[in-house]
Amino acid sequence: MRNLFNIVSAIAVSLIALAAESHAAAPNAVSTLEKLRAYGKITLCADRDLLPHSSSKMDPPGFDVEVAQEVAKRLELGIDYKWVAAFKGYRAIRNLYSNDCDIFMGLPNDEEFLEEARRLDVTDAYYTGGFAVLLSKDAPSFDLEDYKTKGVAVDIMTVPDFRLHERGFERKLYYGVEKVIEAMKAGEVQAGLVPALEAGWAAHTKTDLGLRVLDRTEKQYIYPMGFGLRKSEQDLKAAINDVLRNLEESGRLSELRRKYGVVELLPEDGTPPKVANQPVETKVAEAKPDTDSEKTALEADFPSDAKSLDEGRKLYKQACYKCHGPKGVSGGTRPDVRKFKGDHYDMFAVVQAGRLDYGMPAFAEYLTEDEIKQIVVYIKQLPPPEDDYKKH
Amino acid sequence: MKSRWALLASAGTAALAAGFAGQVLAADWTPVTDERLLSAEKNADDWLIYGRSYSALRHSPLDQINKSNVKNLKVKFQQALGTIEGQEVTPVVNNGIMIVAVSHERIDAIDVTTGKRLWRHDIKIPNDATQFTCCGKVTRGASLYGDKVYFATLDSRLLAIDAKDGKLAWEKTLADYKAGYTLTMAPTIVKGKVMVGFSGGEFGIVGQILALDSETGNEVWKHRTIPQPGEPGYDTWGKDSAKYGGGAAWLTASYDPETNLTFWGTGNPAPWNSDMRPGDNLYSNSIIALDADTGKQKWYFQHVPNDAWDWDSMNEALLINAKIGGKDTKAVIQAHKNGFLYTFDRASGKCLQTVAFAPYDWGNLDENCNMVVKPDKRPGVGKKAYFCPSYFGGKGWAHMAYNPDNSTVFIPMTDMCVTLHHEETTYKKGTMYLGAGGEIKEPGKGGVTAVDVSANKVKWTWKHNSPLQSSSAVSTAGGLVFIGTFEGEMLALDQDTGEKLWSHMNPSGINAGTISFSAGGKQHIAVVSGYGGAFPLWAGTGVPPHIKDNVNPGATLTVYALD
Repeated sequence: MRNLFNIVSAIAVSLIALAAESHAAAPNAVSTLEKLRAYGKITLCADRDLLPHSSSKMDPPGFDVEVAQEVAKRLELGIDYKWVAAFKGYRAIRNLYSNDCDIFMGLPNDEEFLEEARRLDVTDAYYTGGFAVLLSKDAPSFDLEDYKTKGVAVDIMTVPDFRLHERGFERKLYYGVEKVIEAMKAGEVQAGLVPALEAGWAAHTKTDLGLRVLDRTEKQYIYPMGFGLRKSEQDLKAAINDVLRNLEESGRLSELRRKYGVVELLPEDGTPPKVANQPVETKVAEAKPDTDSEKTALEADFPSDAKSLDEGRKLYKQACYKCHGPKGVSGGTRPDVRKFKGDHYDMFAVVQAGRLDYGMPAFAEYLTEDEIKQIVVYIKQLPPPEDDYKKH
Repeated sequence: MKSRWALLASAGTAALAAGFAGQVLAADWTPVTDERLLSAEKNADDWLIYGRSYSALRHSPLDQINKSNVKNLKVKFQQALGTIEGQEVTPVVNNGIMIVAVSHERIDAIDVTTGKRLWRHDIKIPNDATQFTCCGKVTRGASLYGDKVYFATLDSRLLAIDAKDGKLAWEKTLADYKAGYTLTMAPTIVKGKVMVGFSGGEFGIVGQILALDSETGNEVWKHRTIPQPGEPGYDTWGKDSAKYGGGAAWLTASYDPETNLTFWGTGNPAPWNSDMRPGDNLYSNSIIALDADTGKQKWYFQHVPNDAWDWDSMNEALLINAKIGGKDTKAVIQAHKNGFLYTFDRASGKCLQTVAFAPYDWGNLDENCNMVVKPDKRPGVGKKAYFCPSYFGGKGWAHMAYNPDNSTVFIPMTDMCVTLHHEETTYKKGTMYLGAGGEIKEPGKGGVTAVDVSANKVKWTWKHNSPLQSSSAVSTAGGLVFIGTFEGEMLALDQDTGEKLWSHMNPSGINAGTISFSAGGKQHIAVVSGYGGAFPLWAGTGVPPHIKDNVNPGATLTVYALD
């Protein structure tokens, strides 16, 4: 479920008719690049543990991270990492808006997206991403149409989920590519239409499964993927574009793409994808109010059923209670978790990566992602501090 | 009086030497010999040992500050210690030099006459060390021996630091902190052996006490508090529960030269869920007497078999000579979390008498000092029980003080109840091993209870609207008890009546040990304030709102003297 392509779906389902205003970027007195050079480093927001995109363990660092490292090097900058829970694309917008970092990789250079994220811009592509056809070892056909009635696996709430529905396909819904692959292993499904980068990585690393990823897909499923940055920092965008051109010419980018099994998607009709001019049509958006879909998406990532809550309560006691108090009631020396300023995803990232400077440990090594989610769900439903001393 | 003259001489030199004053004094470190340690009780000027003397009485023979002049007690100096971690330290003072361990961040040597820092030793512990401990970066302090300062770190190392310049002489890793073995106590040092007990009863450790050579850090003996397969007592641990059985002896021991015994209190068995460990769970929640040379257990008394309440017996054992039942007795007294003060015979461990010092509702002790618990006061899986005192205890880890002149012990007291239930849990490295959940619905209260041990009776209780859960008392020959509160108030109480005679507000809450010593011919009182430790972390709504709203963390050393 953790993939940046959800951003595309998030936009697809949340087409709010905002009056289109064009904002001219304010001219900067000091260029962004100069500022970064004075500081010496560029900061990348990336997920702590989301291969093939990124991994804080640096073994391997991930495709996004390695491309960013190459770019930073050529810009004569060091690189800092801000580890975030990136499994929802809209976080990119927030992290960049709030100056947590300077770049956020893997955003679609797509008009629809840029209209939504008004203060963001996206560089030229460092790979062509989108949704690819993934086939199990025993899948009999390369044509998706042949699976129309048998069922095609999709990542829930992504573009293919809606699109295949419109096209009258039988869909099988999964939370994330990994779950799709498990289903293929179990023989539940033979074909999927899933994020291409993850699909390529799986085929590349899980060679024993004999997975196949097709490099042809419908034009509408293809997105040129670039570096997300703040729209006001056009000089940085231009500089990165220059570097990307060099990296492409020198063959370094293809080298990295090969290392991570990146599938270069090509449209089925043979014409190259158009940049920033292919509005994603959708009727789904009108059918579903925005808040509902947000809720559904949150529930998908952070299930709040009774069992998850109970697990979360138990895990809270094992991992959190000793500092943050019973039922999240702080005694005043450590932060009250109920006053946490941020959403489920922000809290997830903090529990996973810790705030080591403040004595908050990183739990990535001791708790699974599902366990951390259960803790977050438990904390988020605790009664507010105002009720602490009410008579029982 | 020899030491006082030495101090005056060196203080004079310091004044003349201006900028080099610090170095001059630090280099004048008076070695902390066995002889000085053994006679610490009579040496009024210093505070050489964690509990002031091997008998851990925390009683100062100084009487310059007394009932009639305590109202004139003033702050001599204050020094910010630069951290917001909770401070549980009892500083030690050797001939005018105070050694203060500031959380697990640094150790300062301070000239007590001027407040000037003589040296600083920065302690480095791994970023993730706090993950494996219950209560933050707390330490109870450093200990002195010879020319060295010994400090036990949260990540289970023993540091030997040169007392003259603060430089590290050597260090020794003692255990794997990532398995929950941490150190928060000030070591007990006897005849060249540095003894430490591991904390970690909430992380499923097996309680261990180590004696290490003070010159090399090499292990001399090791005593496990929980028997392992083949050892006597192992059969008191059903369901293979001894493996992560807890029983941490996490506070500084006392020592009796006559019997050559060290006295330790052991903590709760793990997990809190008692169904997961059928049996008495020896020797958790016990007082144990170990031979100082060999670590062999000479006697034990288990206060709480098959603990269901987290009623540790970790509390300090005071060695007193007093009339007990009309007879001169060499005794051991220990105040327990369950609200009772126990008196034992020092050589045999026989329980001689008990008396309640804190509100309790769980049942009573029989004539053999064994707990008889009302069935509805015992929590279980799916069974909530409301009981008093809470798991913070009628007495927390904060130390009591005993005045031999009036055979009275002054006990920091907590009056708080809890609703607790048990649940299944599994051992998971790096997280807590509890299997229990509770709620403290009413904000805690507390006070100081004075018990005449010879009469085995409560003399008075000074009541307060917050628990005195982790602030240690000091008794003085001036007829006073000094103790701090979570609000930050430093108090002087009348030993006869419990009346508050003087107080001073500190910058933050007090959960540390108050001490008394003499320098430059003057009696001083000193304390490190800095709100923190277990109480604000674990008590939830048991923390009184006036404390949550008003008390900020932040460590400060305050030293008082008469004008």
